[in-house]
Amino acid sequence: MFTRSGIPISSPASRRPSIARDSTRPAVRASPGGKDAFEALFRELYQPVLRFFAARGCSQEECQDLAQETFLRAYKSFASFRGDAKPSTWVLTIAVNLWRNRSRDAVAAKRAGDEVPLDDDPLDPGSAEGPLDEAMAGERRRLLRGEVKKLPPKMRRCLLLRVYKDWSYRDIAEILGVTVETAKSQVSLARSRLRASLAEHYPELDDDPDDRGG
Amino acid sequence: MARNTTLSEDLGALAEEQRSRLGEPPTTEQLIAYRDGRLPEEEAERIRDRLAVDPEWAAVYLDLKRFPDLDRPAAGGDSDADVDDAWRTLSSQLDRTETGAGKVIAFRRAAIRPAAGRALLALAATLILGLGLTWLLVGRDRPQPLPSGEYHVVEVTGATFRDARLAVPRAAVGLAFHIDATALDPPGKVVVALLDALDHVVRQERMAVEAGQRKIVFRVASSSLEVGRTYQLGVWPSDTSPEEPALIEMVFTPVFED
Repeated sequence: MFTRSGIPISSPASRRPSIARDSTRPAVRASPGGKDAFEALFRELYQPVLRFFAARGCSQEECQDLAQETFLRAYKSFASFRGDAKPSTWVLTIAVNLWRNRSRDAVAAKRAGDEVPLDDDPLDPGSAEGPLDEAMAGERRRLLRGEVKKLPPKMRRCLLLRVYKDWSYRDIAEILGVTVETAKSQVSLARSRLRASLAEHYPELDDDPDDRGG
Repeated sequence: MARNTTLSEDLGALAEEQRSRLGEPPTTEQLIAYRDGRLPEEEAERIRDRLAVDPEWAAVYLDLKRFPDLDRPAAGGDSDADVDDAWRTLSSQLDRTETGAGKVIAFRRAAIRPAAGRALLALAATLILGLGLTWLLVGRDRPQPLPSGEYHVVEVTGATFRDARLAVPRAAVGLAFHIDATALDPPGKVVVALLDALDHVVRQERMAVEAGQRKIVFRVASSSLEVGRTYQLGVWPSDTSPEEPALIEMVFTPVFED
C-alpha cells in the first residue's frame, strides 16, 4: 500500500484491508465484448455481493440467485458504465436495488396473503393487556416521546441507534458521520437527560450498559 | 398484569412511528450521495433522521460504506471453486444474452471524472480539463504492432472538456497527466498518485507547485497499467487531512457499438 513519509495517503478506502491482487490471475486482456474485463470484476465482487444478500437474511440459494441476477444486470449495462462511481459501488447499487424490489414484492405478497398473526387470537384472553395497563404504557410512551423530542437531533439519533438496536459506537459514527467519541458522549448525555425525568418509568436508565464499552 | 415495556422497546415503537411519518426509504443513489458527502446539509439531515430509525436501511448504508470488505461469511461461494462455478453459469447466460447483440467494436476508453464533494473538487475539475492526456508513443515513426481494429480510445470528460477523444495505439509507452495547478492556492507541495480499484498504488510522486506555475505533469508507464482495470488519479496537497482525499477516477470500460 501507499508508503510515504508525511503524505496523506491513508484514506478511509485505503485503510481497509484490500483484496490482494493475485499475481497468478491472468491479466485482463482486451477482447470483443469486454467479457474478460467483466470476469475480473465478477471475481473480485462475487463474494462480497453474496455477503450483502446473506446479511439481508437470504438463504444460500437465494443469495446465489440474486448475485447471479446482479451480475447479469451489471453485464447488460457494462457498456454504458462511464466510471461515475467505482465499479464496486456500481455493482452494489444494482444489488441494493434488486434487494429493494424483492423486499417490496415480498411485502406486497404478504399483504395479499391476508395472514392472521397467531398472537392476535381473539379466543386467548390471556394474551392481551388490560385497559389500565395499556393506558399506563401509553402514558409512559407519551412522556418518553416528549422527552426524546426535546433532545437535539444528533443526540436523539445517537440514542435511538444505540438503545433501540444496540448498534456499536463505530457503526453509529459511520452511519451519522460523526466520530466514535461524539457518538459515545451524545448517547451518554441523552441518557442523563432522560434519567432526570423518566428514571421511575425506565429503571434501566440508572444502569448504564454503555459502561461495558462498545 | 402485563409486564412493563423496556426503554428499548418503547424507543423502537417511537422509531416505527417516525419511520411511518418519513415514508419511503432513501434511494440507493441518495445513500451513495450521502456517503460521498454530496448532499446539501438539509437533505443529509433527512437521511440521518431516516437511518436513525430504520435499522434495515442503516445496515444497507453500512454495507455501502464498507463494500466490498464486508466482514461476514458469504452464503456459499466461499471457495475459488464456487466462484468458478458461479462464473461458468453466468458466462453461459452472458453468451446467450450476447447472441444477436450486434457487432462489438474492440476498443476501450478511459473516463476521468472528479469525485464530487471531495475537498479538492475545484482542483480536480481543473485538473481534468487540462486536456491533460498525452500519450507518449514509442517512436512515432516506428510501425505500429497493432492488431487490426484494436485501439484504446481515451475519453477525457470534465467540466469544460467533454467528449474529447484521443485514439491511442497500443504501442503507447506511457501516459502523462497534465494537471492544471492554478487552482492550488496557496501553491505548495502536492502528492499525485495513481491507484488501482483496490487502492494499491500504481505510482505516486510528491511534486512542488511554485507560485505562478500553471501545470504539473505526472507520468505513468503503460507497463504499469492493465487494460480493463479501474484506476483512480488522486491529487492531495501534502497537508490535506487523510480523511478527505480528493480522488479522480479513471475507469477503463469497453464500449459496445452496433
